[in-house]
Amino acid sequence: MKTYNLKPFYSDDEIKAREGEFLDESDYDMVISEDCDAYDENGDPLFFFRKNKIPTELCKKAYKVLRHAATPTNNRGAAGGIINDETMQAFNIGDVGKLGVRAIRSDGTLSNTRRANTVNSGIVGYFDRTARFPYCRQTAWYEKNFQMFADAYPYISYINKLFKEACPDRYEKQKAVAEKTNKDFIIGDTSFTTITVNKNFRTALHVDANDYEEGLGNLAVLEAGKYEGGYTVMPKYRVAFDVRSGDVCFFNVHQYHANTEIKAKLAYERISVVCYYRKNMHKCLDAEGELQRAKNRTAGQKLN
Amino acid sequence: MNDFEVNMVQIGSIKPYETNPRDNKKSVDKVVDSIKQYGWRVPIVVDENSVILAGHTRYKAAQILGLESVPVHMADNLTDEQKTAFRIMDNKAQDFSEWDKDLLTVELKKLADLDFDMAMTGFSFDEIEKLTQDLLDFEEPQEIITDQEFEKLDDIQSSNVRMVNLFLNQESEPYFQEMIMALRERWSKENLTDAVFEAVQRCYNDENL
Repeated sequence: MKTYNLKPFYSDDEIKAREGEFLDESDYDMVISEDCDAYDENGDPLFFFRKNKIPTELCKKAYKVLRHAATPTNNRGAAGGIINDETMQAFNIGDVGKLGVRAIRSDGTLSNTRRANTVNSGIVGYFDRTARFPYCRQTAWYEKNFQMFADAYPYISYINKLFKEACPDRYEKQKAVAEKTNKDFIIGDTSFTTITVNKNFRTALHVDANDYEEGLGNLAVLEAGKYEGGYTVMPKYRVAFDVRSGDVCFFNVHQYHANTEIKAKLAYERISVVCYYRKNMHKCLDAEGELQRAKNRTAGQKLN
Repeated sequence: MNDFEVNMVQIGSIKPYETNPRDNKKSVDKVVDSIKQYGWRVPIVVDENSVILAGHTRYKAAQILGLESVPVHMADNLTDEQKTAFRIMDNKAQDFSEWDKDLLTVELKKLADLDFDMAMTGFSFDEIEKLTQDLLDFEEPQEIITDQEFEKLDDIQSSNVRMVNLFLNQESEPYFQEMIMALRERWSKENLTDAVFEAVQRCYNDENL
């Protein structure tokens, strides 16, 4: 198996300046599609690509479930790209930023919610406390579809197994924090609290937020129909990986990344699956404790 | 039936009908593509004065393509009324045709399998995507991987977290809040969750409600 020690072509600031942009073949020199490990200039893990490792039957079952988890949403921030005309027309805009807009409410005040371009994306599993929901909780999709999700669980569990095999150091750290987290907020016996599911979503240049820094992000794909492209590009290192059904790539999601265009002749579905541990989930009480927090919620109460 | 004669004529010698009731702006680009890809297959129809009866879109496409001559059929045996009616009928007749979506899907798939440029069918990708949704099936990798241990895995445990979402709109939400505040006061409930549970429980236990 190949090992790459990659050097950056650009500074962090140069890459950050391109946040929200879509990338293409001019942004990479190498496409990874075989097993390999790659490290950055400091010797830290950049990505671990594993080709066709997830059992086909698990992929097939997971596809049938997870394709329903991604629905139109405006909450994916920079990944949705620089604000487009469609978004501008969809809301009564009061404040326009490069990557998000805030609408004017019916009472004339400015909404606190920043909305990005519409993409197909959903969240499965658990979520930590936020200003809007100041208690740990299940995501709405997971709550409604838990029974159906059971069919996708072996797929998620297999990604966890491959994570352990591919990068044991990072896995052990993530598993340790998952073990300390209340079981009510961990997906099965994995090291994951949360899964982001995207459908036919070409992400613009972004970094993932809120995942456990000592662990490692991952990307798996389930596909139906035929398509080309959809490479995940890390422009700082001018490298891309082509993750297809059965593959998984564990990578440093705090490095800026984006997808290339997805090209198809007929209907297709590219379901990308990102399993992670949300970094504040270890602060969650058990289900009963969070229930009491929700019941006794008061204005201005500290989140954690 | 009259003889059907088609001649190549100078494009400058034919004239569009000034009050053509068909707006063809959106289809000109498609016809340009069609002529480029497939050549001329349908002539422009003109009357004895070289005024177009049918084929205004092809005429505009030919202008965009910078063609000097175009194939023309002259229909020189129609009355003025027939010419007017024919201009309408030639376009209106298309309204009565429908796609057999199953057969169309088969044809589109045939082209996709041949790696044909699907834009050259005149359909947008969004239209093709909608038409071919039913073809979607999980795409198996070339090499099938198995792991029976995981294929039997069914031990995900149900979490103790239970939630019910209420979906309200701008009108129902303030009304809901008003009602729930009143009920909380009436039943001495300190929070919304307990008040909602109490309300549902009372309804469930009281068949008269």
